[in-house]
Amino acid sequence: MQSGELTLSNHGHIDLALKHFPSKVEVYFLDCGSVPVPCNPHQPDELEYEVHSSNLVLGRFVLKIKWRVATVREVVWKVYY
Amino acid sequence: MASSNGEGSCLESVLLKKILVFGFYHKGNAGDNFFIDAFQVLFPDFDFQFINHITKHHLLNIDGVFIGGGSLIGEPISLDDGVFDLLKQQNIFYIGVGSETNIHPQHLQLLQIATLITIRNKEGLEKIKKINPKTIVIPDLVHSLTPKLSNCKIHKSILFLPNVLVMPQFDDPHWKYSAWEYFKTETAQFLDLMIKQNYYLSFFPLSTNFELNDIFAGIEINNRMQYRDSGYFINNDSSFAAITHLMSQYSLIITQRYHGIILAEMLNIPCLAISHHHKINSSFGHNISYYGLTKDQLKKETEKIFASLPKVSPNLPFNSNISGFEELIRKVKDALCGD
Repeated sequence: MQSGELTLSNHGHIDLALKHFPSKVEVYFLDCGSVPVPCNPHQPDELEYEVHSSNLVLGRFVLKIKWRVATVREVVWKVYY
Repeated sequence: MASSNGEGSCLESVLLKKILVFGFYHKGNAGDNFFIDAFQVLFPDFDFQFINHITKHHLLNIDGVFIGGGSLIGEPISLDDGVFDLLKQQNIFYIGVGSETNIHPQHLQLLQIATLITIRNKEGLEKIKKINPKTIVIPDLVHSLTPKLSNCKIHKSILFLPNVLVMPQFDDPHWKYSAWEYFKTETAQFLDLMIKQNYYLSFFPLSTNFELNDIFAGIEINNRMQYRDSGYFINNDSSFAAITHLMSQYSLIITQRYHGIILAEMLNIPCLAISHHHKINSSFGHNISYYGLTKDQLKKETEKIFASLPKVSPNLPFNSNISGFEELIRKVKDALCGD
């Protein structure tokens, strides 16, 4: 398993290098628990993620996380193999 | 548009000055390639040609030669036979060079006749001033650039910038082998410990030269680790914006490269420099010597840095500031104006 936390603001994306292709991935806002995105339909905050192959890393697979948030948000990511 | 005090006409005359810039350009070293962007930011009116080898043809119809930036005065100048005497007839400027090395006899001759010398550290000022008093200190040229910041910070993350130059080749002296073998073993143990503690680790090469790729060094360290993983290695696409965007996502930079320190300082990221060379003895962040480094030292320094970090927060906006270069810009333009 790989896991970690991110601090996000504004909008953007990040590619997190993975060891290999995962069996399961979870990405969620820390203060909302593990819920489908968008986290809260009453807020503009959005979180998306996907696993894809990439030339960015020698390990070939990355977890791409995209976001658009109104304030600073904490995000948890977990990757199971 | 000349002004009555003559300042306008002076500025007009420096427009489109043709400048040849000699340094370690186009060789896959990110630090040296950043200087290309920096010169164009500092002197937007000049027409630059960046080269790493000088021929007779390069010296035709130019207004001056910039030598720099970087640590190059200890090395011979790469040029064709018979070109050195032609080079000495040019308007020579040393811009943003390191003064920590010995001086090669070719550079000594050119330093003596240079119109202006700007070095990037105070330590060498007296030494260079004795050769030519027209010497000033300026910040590293990369400070003139505006980094691109990420809107994401990865908690407990380490970006390791290895340096291929410390790796021995078969004909190197024994001490270089011993130092590298010891360093690899200790560093691998330290990084394994960090992985066990759920740190996110990446290796990133600031040099991707065909023969001197920092990934070579990173792979040897990775090979010594129990938790070795090809996913640690990130490719370098060499643009200043892409590199600063990537680096700004990390919470700690461990660097064996000089420009790792400079970028960490610009991005306000804690930095641990592993020094094998005088120029990597950083005034920013923490330093440890490459020689005889232990995993306990690395662990202690890293814990100290993470303990002093405030709660992880997003990157602050960066305000571009080239005020440290005003004297350089004025002196270069004055010298070229007087032609």
